[in-house]
Amino acid sequence: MELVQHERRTIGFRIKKQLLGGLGTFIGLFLLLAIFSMLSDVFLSAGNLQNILIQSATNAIIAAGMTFVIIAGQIDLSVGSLLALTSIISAQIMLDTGSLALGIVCALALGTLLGALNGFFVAYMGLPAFIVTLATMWLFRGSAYVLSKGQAIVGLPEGLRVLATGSFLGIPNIVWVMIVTYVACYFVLTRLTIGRKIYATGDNQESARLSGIHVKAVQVLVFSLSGFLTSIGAIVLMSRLNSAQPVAGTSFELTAIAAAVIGGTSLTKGGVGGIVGTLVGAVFIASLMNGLVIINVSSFWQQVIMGIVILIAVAIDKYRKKISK
Amino acid sequence: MTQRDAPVLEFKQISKHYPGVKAVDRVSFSVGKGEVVALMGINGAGKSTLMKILSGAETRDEGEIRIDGKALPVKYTPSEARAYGIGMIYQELSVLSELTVAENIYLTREFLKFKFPPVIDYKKLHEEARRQLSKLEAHHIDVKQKTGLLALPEKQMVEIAKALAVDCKILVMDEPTTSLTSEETNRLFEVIRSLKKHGVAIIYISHRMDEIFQICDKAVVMRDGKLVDQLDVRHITHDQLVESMTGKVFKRLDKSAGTNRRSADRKKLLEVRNATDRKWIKNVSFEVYENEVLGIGGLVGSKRTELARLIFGADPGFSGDILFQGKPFRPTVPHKSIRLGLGYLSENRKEDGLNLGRPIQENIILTDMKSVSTGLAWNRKKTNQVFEKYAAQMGIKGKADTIVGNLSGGNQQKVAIAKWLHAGCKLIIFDEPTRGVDVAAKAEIYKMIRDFAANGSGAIVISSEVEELVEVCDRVLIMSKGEIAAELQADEITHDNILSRITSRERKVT
Repeated sequence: MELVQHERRTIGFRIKKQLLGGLGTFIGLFLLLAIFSMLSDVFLSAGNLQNILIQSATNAIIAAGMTFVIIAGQIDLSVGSLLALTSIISAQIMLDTGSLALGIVCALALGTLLGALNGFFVAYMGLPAFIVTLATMWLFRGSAYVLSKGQAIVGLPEGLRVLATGSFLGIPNIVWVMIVTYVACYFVLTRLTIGRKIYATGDNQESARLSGIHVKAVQVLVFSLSGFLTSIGAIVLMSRLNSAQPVAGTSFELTAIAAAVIGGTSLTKGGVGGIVGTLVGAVFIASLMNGLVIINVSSFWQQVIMGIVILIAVAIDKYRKKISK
Repeated sequence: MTQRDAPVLEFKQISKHYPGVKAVDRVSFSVGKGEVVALMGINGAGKSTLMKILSGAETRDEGEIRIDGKALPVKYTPSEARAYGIGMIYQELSVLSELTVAENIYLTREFLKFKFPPVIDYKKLHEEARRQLSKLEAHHIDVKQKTGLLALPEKQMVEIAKALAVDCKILVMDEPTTSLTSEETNRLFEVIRSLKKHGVAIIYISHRMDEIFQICDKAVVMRDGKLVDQLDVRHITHDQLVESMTGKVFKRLDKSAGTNRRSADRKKLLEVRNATDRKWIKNVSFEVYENEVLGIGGLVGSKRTELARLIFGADPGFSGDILFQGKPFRPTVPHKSIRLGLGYLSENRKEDGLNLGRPIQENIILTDMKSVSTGLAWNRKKTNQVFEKYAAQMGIKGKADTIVGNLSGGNQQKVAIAKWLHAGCKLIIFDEPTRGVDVAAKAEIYKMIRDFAANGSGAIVISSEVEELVEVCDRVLIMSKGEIAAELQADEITHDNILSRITSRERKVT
């Protein structure tokens, strides 16, 4: 009697809940793969599946950072611009010094720093994340244009191409980067105490603070992580394009948010979600785009379909919350 | 068709099942015209489910509800329920603060000058709103004022007026006094008495026993979904009522651990000198001894919570001196205070006391993660052991991964307290430790607080319930307007003494 109903609900209910939760995204992905494989012969080929993973990598890596931010109850709209700015600056460093390693290190450091800057404004100035990152979205993008004078930077060190073209144990290097990122993020979120702190802060910031959690530090940390992971995404994208472009990453924040939301992380309430769902969500988006191209759907319609998919995902999220009450 | 003594409301064999649970099990009782019935029961007894059925928020599986002898349909919506004459007043008020009093009272049923374009007839609206408020003898409320600017009891009057405006025959009041001072509570009781005169049938739900005896005619007691007793309030005692609710014999607490050691050599655990925040708290000085439970009483608004939050470091602006465990202590931020051994159970578990969306075990470990981790890594096994320990010690009903928001109020409060026991603090400030908790859980919480303090630690209990201070404290401070107004020792701690200090002080100041 003391417990509210759902603890005692039937197995059927639990299965339903699982389906709508993490598992649901998986099933959605398999359905999608099944549909496209019926519509096209090449879709399920090993080569194309590999393509899908490579295409999903940049978004997946950025979305991992976004997941941390959203679980902590915040939002980061600046990732696309942050990607452009770190690309431009690190590419320039690579050109000037000729050192690939230095360029990469600078990209990672700069990304983390810019993320921390977002976090500082949110945590220590008490400004809403939506506004702060909306502002830095323009600030970073504008800086990228100013520094590059609007021109793409080409002639990057040869070594960078290896990331995009090479493979290890038959799996493309880019996919390895994605796998390592997700294993690390999964570990941080589920096996370290900081993971519990992130969930608690997102669920109820004031309660977490009064319980002795340094919520400001947690907030700076999640934004820094988002910046760090975005800069990894920047390096991956540079190696694929073999150049750094000030227009790169436009609207990436939205695809990253979409991946997290499709994966079951809740935008409306912090403290809900997980990293595995986001990976599935990112692969789902890449599969959808890839499949639509293969079956010759125009790029205009692709966007319409993407919008519908996100609506469905949000509706499922809403329904899931309702039944878990 | 209705006779004078025919019941206004009848429940006949009402049942409601949730998978695996009978929340309400063949409950029948009736409420007469002008009768105030106390619906009693510990948390999870089925009171709220029954009231949700009445209000149309839930559908009953079996049974019949009759109003003035007429059976209601099996399924109806909350707005249809209002049309049947069922009004609900909850602890959380539903008035909209940006609208005026009159607009709130006639929300969605405004008087229109024309159908189209719909222009509101404000003159009539204000007149009618005034008429409703005068039924409650609340003439002093300006109907044109924004509701948000009113004090809490006035807002409650508006809420009641809103229910009356739909010609309500049955009024359900769920914990209406939780945020009211004793003065305000008395005013609410006046309103209830005048509603009685107008023939409104009232169902009154409260965990505060003394209120039941003051205002109710009959007590209907539920336990495990069943109706176990219908008692005439005039003929029973407090303890009898508690026994009926819990099914257990009621025992008073043993305070010897704290009082026996009241010798000259007792050690000061906390010493606060001239604490101020330059806003509300004015030069407050007091001390807490080892093994002692210090109570702080006072009216709502006497700034007891502000004092606690200031000392704990939840709010900025502290100035003054504090010696804690013999060392100077300066409150800055909660996580530092906790590390130094000072804890604070917040007064509102829903707002800032718990992470309702997270599992029980994660809530408990928040205050001390070092003890459940190896380096940076979170140790789930140790976490589970911590959960098992407190679940057994405090009788928390739920599994380690049960989401706290799904627990009953009493269990939630136990989790909140377990969280602070886990913190390993030397001194814990318990702010309203039993708010919204039933009598059975209350007794357990009192025992926990005493046990905690008995081991060389100390506790401060802030409470608006006089009975609670009497039951659990060794010494009681009375606060008023940000100052310590009185101090009561040992035998002086009685219900009447505390009440008179609280109210006399109020009269002096105003």
